[in-house]
Amino acid sequence: MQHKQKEKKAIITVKGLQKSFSTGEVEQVIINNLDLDIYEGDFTIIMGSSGAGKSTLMYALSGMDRPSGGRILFDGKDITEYKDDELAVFRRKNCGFVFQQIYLLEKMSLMDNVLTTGFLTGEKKNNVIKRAEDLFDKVNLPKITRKKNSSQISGGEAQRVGIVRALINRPKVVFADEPTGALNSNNSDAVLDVFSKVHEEGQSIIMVTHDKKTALRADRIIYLKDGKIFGECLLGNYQKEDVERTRKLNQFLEEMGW
Amino acid sequence: MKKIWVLAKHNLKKEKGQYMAFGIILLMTALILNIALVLLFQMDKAYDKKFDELDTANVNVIVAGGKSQPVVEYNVNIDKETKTTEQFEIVEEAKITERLDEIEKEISQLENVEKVEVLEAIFLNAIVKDFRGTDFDMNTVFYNMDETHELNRLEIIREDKTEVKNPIYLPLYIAEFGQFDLGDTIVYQIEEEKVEFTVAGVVQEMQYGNLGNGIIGVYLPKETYTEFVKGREMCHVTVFSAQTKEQADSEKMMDSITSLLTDADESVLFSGYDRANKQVRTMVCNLLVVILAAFAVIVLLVSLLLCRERIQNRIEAEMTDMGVLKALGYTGNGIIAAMMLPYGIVGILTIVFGIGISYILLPVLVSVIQLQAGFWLTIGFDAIGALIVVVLLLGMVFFFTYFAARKIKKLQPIWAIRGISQGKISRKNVFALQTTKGNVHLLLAGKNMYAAARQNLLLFLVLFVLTILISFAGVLFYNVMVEPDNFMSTLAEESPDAVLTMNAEDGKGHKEVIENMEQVSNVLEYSIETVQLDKEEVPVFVCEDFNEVTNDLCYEGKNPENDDEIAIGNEIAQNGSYEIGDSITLTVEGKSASYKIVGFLQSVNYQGKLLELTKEGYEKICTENPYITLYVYLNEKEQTESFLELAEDNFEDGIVTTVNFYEKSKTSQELYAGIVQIVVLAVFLLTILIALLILFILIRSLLVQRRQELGIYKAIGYSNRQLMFQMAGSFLPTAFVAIFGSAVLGKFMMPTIYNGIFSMIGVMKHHCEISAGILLLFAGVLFVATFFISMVLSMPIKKISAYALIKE
Repeated sequence: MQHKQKEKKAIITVKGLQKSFSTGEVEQVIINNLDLDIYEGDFTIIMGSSGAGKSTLMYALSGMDRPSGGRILFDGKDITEYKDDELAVFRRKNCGFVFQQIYLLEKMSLMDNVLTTGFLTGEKKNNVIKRAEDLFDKVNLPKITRKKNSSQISGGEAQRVGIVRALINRPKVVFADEPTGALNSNNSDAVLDVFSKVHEEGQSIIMVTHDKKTALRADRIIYLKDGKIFGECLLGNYQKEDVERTRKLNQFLEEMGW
Repeated sequence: MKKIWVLAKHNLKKEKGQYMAFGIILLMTALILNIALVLLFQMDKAYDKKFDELDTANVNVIVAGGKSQPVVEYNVNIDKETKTTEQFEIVEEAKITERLDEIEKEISQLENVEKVEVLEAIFLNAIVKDFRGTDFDMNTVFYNMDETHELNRLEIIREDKTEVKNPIYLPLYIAEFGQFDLGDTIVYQIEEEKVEFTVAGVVQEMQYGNLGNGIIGVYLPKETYTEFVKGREMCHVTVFSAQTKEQADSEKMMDSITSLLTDADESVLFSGYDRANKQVRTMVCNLLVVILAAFAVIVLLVSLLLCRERIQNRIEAEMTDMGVLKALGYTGNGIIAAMMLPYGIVGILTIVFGIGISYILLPVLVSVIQLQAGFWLTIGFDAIGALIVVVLLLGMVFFFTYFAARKIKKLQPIWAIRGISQGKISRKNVFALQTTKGNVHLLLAGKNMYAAARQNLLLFLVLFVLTILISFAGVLFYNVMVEPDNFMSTLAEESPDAVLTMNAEDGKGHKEVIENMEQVSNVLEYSIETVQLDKEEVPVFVCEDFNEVTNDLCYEGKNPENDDEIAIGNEIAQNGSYEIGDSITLTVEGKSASYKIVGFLQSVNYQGKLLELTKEGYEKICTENPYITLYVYLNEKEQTESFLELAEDNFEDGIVTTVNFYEKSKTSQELYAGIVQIVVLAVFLLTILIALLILFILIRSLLVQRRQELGIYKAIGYSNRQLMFQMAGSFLPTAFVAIFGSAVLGKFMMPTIYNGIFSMIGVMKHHCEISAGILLLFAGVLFVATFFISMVLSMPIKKISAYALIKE
């Protein structure tokens, strides 16, 4: 498996990543000299206990937050050197985001939420609208719902809109921060199915989760502890009802002290 | 109470910037309002106090001739053949003395007259040379300051007792405005003679004060006066001054005294009463009070609306916290009190501070006001004014904050905790991106604008009013600084560039030569003569063709065109109840003619007491005029001095006097320009400051309110610049409509505002140009300033990372 990973192209390469926060005179290190490769087409899950630095790492990889030190090469380009507005352009072209709290824009329709991102790249409006309709179809959100406001739909539906918004610009990587954390079991499964579906189509995904059921969907699991990679597990392609896969994940997490 | 205090302290700390902005606006309101009130209360008081202190007469009437005048030919009927010249003079003096004593007695017997005093003086039209760098002609009464008198006393405020040649004591107005210091030489040109005096002192007096009355008094020690009178005996006048009993109508008293004098065949040269004099002398102060009070009301309304807006925003933004507090047992009133308390604290502190600062700024304004008022204005602390400011502003703040916050009472804890507003929520998806054509950023700015409709409405109201203010200042600026003729012609009379007085016999021929000079655009025969109307001396403007004048004084009807037509001043029309079409009879040295009234005239300087006749019309009653006065209009006003030098060289024999009228007008303009500069600058800066503060409060509120939303935008790839543009852009359409809409409306509203203000000083028709260009220019400046201020205030978007925004 390790050998197969090496054959894949690394879309993100992290070298000596540092992230610390100062609270008064005390400096708290969140990410400590971390090296990591993320491969194209992989569904990578980041796990770890609370405060391990999972979200911090993910937001640093996506250019949402600036690291304190080290380099992040995204598709060969060092994004740590980018200025704020260059990072914004980088994000709109390369990254899609799905958040636990979903964060839809309240004062507009679901379709407008998606188009607000879609129209950013300067692509022809009709093409973007067509793609948005296709993506809405893919996540099973009916046309009538698309005109609604975010406060008029369920959490599961809202998260599916979040996924459509993340995918609308055909990002190189979709970053998801505990996307099922606020959903009930049914909605959670539906959302994960969408993620698996788009992954099958070749979409690279990096997801932070605490949930074992979610982690089962991954190709690769990275376990963080005290700001460093404590362990890594390769699960291969996701298959439903895969007992061996479940056993392997359980064993890995047990080793990690989960 | 302790709990409320803790909550209030928390509120105060949490939104320091917002409270500071509110405080600054309130401070400005207190500052402006206090200045207006102090001026309103103290100017009046100080004027009356000084008026009483100096035992000023309520009515002053000047008649031609005096006891010391040897001959008053037209007033006495004598048998010349039986008397020698010496006898003749003695007889005349005795008769005049007897007559004036008789009149004095009659005046003192009038109802409501407290005290009468009669003084002799010399009255003439004199040109003050080098008055603030130019020549300034003024009707001047030269008094013997050592003559004992009880009324109209003088207060010497500066004096140099060293012995000098021809000492003179100047009134404050001439000394300050004409820039004459003690020891300086002041030169009066009286006809062709120049008389030099040395400034020995500066006095305050309340009889004349400034040139607004068209007359001013100067004071000579006895020796200087005696010397000055020699050869000017014909210019003797008698000044009748009367003090009235309290409650008496001084205007009626003036009319009674004037009637009494004219019935006795005295020629009245000037008559004035206290109220009219006070109005003229406090004109600038009153205008400032009106402008400042209007500004204070506007700023106050802005601050209160902002205060209301802030509270409503906070209720929306912190509804959950309020729900939690209610759930914990805080009462609605307790939370409201905690919300109002910081406004109260900030209010008290800033109002007191504003009042304090107003006393630092007051001397600057006072220095301008006292120059025009002609007396030293000492401003002290005004407790009543301060109390009004504190009570009014604080009361309004409490009233507005309570009404804005009272909906907290109705807030159900559970709904509040769930963040569900009990008001209506609009789910309308305006500017739908899928269907609306246009740039995505513009559409998003439109969505934001709709979402912040309440804030936009507030901004609209404020910018609309501010634009009216800035338009007012802009129009004033344009008409005083850029096109000063407009403003000056409103206050003054016909203003040529140069005035040449020539011998009548030479003048005719010279006029044609002057007309053909390269630098001359027009020449008019125009003079100010005196005629008798109902036995009172009244100035009459005589012109060969009123169609050619540059300053049309006529506000109703028309100027005279034929020799039987006349236009009369508004004061004469009012006093005599004259209508257009009525007839009026004028007399010059016993020769009379009747004229048909064809128009009404305005004049600030002559207070509506003037007439207009055509040259032919005037010649019906006065054929023997030894002089001809030419008003010369040049292509380049700046060349007036060189033109006058050329004229003096070429027509040496014919010229009697010349006046550089252009320079003289410029000097007059300086007084107004100084005030206007202060007003315009203050209005402009305050307008920008208010715009800045309101945008600060609105944008900061939105930044707090939309923090998460902005984080989402940043996360999905919107740049700082795009978000700043969206934020600023969401206010721009409102700002554009408010500012330019107000400017366009201003084109129609401004004349009404200006008419109202000018009517306060007796101007029936002003010549101020309401230039659309200047309105749009000032509106443009305000709009650009609004845009840049919005962009700058949106900059904090830059400082926070998308991650941090989302995490918050």
